[in-house]
Amino acid sequence: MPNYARTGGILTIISGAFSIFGVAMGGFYILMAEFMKGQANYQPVVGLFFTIMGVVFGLFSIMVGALAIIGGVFAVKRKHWAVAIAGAIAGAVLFFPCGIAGTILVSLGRAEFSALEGLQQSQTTG
Amino acid sequence: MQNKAGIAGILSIISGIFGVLWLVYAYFMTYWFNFMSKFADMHEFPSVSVNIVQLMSIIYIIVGSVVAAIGIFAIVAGIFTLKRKHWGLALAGAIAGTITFFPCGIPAIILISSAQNEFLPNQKSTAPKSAS
Repeated sequence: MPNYARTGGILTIISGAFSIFGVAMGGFYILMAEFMKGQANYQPVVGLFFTIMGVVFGLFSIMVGALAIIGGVFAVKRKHWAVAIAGAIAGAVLFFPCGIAGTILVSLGRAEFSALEGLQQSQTTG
Repeated sequence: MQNKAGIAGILSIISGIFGVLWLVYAYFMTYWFNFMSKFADMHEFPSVSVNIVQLMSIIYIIVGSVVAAIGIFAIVAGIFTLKRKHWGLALAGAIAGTITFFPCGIPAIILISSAQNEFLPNQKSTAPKSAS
């Protein structure tokens, strides 16, 4: 049996790890807003805008990254194909090259998921 | 037989059309920059440097042309997908379609990946001829 799902899962986890850059970017926005407070001609609206941007960017990266990592773990374990493919798509949002390869491999490895689930069902019934 | 390849081909073509539309958008933006430049001069607004307008127009045209080329590739690959020929090319086109329009490109990739067996009958039919 080919090992598409496992490779796809690893690529998805790598894509999910790239969410750390998004979190760093969000933190950078918040730090920039704090830095601007001390400056002359400070506009509170601009500071608020940067803070909101930072929080939204950071939270989005955390959520999408978590989905990608969870999906990648499921793909490695060959469980819940739908969650695995959702994670791979989330990985494509974070880091395109790895995420796309992960999406293709998880799609190609769909039979591996159903084969493993069938094996587990036959073990529980038999 | 399921018709996953047919749906994937249509999605690839839609993504490709969005890519070609980028070139239309780039030409529109070029026209818009020139219009704004002339409008500023006519109404005594702070004038925009001609060099900046030209640079912005060139950047838009280059980006638009590249994305349009990717879109044309996605359209050609979408046609191959509909004909169920050249699975690798079809998948490459779906990836190109993801660059131009993500929401259609991703389902196209998933469907083409899972419809690999739909591309096989043509290869099987040519195999005995080459063997003989």
